[in-house]
Amino acid sequence: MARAFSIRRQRGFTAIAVACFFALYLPIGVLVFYSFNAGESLASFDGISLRWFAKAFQNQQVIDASIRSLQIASVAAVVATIAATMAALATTRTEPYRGLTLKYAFINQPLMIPEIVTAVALLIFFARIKIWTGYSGLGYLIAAHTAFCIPFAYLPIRARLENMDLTLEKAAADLYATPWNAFRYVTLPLLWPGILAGFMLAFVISLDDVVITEFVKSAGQDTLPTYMLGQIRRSITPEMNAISTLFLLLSIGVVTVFFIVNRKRV
Amino acid sequence: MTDAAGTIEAEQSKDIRKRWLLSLPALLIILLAATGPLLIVLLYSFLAPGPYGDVQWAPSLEGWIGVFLEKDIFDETLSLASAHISIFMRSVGLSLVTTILTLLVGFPTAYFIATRPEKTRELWLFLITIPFWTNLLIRTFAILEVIRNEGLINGLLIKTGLIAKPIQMLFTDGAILTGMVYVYLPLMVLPLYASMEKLDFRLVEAGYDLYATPFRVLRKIIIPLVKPGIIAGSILVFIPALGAYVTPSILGGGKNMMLGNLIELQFGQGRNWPLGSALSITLMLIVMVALLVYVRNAGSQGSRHG
Amino acid sequence: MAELNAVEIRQVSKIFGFGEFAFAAVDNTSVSIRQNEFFTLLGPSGCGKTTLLRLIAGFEYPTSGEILLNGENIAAMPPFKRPINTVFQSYALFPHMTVAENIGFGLTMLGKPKQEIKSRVDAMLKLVRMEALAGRRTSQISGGQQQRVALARALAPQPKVLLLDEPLSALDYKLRKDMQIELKRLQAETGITFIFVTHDQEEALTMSDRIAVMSSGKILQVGNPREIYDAPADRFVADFIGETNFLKGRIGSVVNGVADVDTSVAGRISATVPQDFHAEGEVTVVLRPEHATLCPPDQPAACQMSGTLENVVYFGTDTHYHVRLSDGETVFTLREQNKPLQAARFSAGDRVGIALEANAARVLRN
Repeated sequence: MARAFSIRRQRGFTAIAVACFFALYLPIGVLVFYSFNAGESLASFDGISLRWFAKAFQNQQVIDASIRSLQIASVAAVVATIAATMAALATTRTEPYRGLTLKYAFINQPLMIPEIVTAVALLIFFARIKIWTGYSGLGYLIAAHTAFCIPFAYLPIRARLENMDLTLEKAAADLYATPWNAFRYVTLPLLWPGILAGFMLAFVISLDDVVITEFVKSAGQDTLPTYMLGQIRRSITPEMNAISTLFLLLSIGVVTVFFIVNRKRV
Repeated sequence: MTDAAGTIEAEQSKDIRKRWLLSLPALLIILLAATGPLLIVLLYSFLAPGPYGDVQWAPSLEGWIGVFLEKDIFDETLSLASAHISIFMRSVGLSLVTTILTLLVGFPTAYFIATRPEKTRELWLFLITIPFWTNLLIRTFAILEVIRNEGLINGLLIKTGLIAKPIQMLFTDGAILTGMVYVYLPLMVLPLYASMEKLDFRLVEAGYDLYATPFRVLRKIIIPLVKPGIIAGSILVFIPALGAYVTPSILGGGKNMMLGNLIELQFGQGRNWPLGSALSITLMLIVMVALLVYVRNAGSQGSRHG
Repeated sequence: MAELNAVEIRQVSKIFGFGEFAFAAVDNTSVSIRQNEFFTLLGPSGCGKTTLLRLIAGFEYPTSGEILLNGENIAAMPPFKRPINTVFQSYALFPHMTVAENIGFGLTMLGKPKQEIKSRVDAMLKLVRMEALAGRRTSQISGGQQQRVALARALAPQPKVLLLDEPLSALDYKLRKDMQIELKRLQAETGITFIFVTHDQEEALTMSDRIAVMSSGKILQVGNPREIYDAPADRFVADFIGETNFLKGRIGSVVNGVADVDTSVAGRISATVPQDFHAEGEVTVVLRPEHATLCPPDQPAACQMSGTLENVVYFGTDTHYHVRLSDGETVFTLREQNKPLQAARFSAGDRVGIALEANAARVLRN
């Protein structure tokens, strides 16, 4: 029997899409599956075991790198979100004014330059500053991460602001709210989901960064991704699968929260 | 001028001053830790290399000459740097093929998501967002685990006795391509979905009503309407692919380099910072050209609709 | 001593844009709005009525001129300092607050004590009959209910003047009719001056104490509904309010305010002349469609005009007839009330005569 005609159907699209989802999840699935492998080889599954997780948790380098990653991501995401929120307030809901396009270009600049170029630039720049000041702490990494997190935090905040009904603030002003009170009681609560989404995006982007961190870090400043990159280049152990699985879990957790926050359209 | 008119002027200039003040932190951070250093790269590309990396403060075009030409070690004659040129070609070629492949797979996928019922659409979107948010390194590593000599495919094939020796898949252009398509696919699907979500299916109905076949509806109605998404997705894939560093360095190894790895080499073992800087600027210029094409296309698209 | 006007607009202009793009949304306009009246700004979209309202609210500042509230110039005062509240066209209810929180917002911002806010909010909820929904989010109530909340929110701080920006335009017909009556009741109960903006002439006629008709940034006529309808000041007002027939003619002798006008299509008709208007030569006479009836063409004594019936349009309460007059150009519209079980007396294509009611015609000032 012929299938009922549907205006939305395009021949073969569903098959490609299903294959696409399958291909997207197969390698990740393999990674997760074999992180529970009792044996060492990917060729055989020798029973379920948590030994590689245990090994990862006992590895001081992994622990140090994870803590460093979280430290950098927390500070960078908070600073980037605050800066991005202020910038979004400054660049939306206005008649075009002198310098507005320049601001857009500036804020989005880290998105438009290949990461490797920014990484090289920061390597050169910070190398000089390290010589001048003698300081070689985490500050460089935090500054670099903050800079490339700003456009990501800016994106959802700006989108939220632009969709916000301008008359709401007019209404607040009409009802005797001073500009500060209108911001405090109307704009900010309505903007909050955008700020939260921006923060999470920035946090994940910072946590995931490899290239810029790889170039900017001083000796002994490995983050989890740069530690993993180093390990992968040397020798691959199933321990890496376990670390990847944990990292993956974190990402999925953040995406889930992000989805829930974005869905609750107040 | 009445006092009210004076108020307008004062309010306006106060508003703009406030807006500059508000955007100052973001602008300063980006200037200090992103844009500013780029200017130093430009400067370094015109200096002479130092013996152990870094630069000597002497103007030199060596870096720029080195982008396309190489000096013979013995008689100092210049010839085309075939290694560099092949890396350029490979980078552009692989990035283009990656863009095309992600588009071919991503378009039906985005369409599939966009045509799901309201309830399940969110789930599919969620499924495409997870890889998008997952660390690129981990996703590349996942591919590595599947294709390396001791990896899943070779392991299973050997175990089942189909082959005796592992098939060399890692460290080939094919490996890089597989990895890049895999890694950048979500970047293509999301903007495509964003423009398909807004697609007015009454226009598709009108197409069918006027005797178009499904294929012609796709070609004459759907594709022109989601063109902004196609362009955005292509740019979003092409630019990071061109500057890719992690994926080719893990899956391509030392021989199958891309531009990103070549640049890294100059700052590492190569110790030729001016050449590395010149290569970086070249990469940036290619990206700028791609972006310009995008802006022009997006601009004409906007004016046609507006 | 004469009572102060609630709002006085003195030679106010609002110009948007600069240079050759400059555009006067409000053009050197003056008008006085009395205490406790229901005043309507009526005009087509783009006539400047909303801009004028926004100037009074404080969302825009005038380019020139003064805006007086009870005698005090407030033209440069920011909106949050003006004791004037607005009901927005889109309602602009705060989506993150409950109905009660919305209503109490103004009082909270004014720093009123909690107890007072609560009792005032309760009174407002009662006034608009929304007590049961006090704790709901504004996204969980219907359009008509949102409208009531918007009203209560604007009335809660007891403003000197309430501004209403096409508040009924989003409601369907039946609800709109109910709200019109509701608004009149609220205005009477609160005694607050209402300034109402609409493009709907019927709404303006039924609700207002006085109406100002606006076009191209200027106020063309201010008067009570009857004056506006019966004695339109110019062609625009006559055309915008209700349906009107325009007849050209030469004015003859004027006796006791009634002129003898010689029209080419209708012969000589008597038409009322506006006070202190001295017309000579060519004039335009206006005639409302309900002030004429069809008559058989074979009775020339009773019928001033004749022509061919082009269209018969049935409207339920009445029937509209479009007659092409004998000059072949003018189409005259007239309206007859429908009687029970009475078939149309004429049908399209018939030759018909038109009888005009006495004192119905009016000479237009221009």
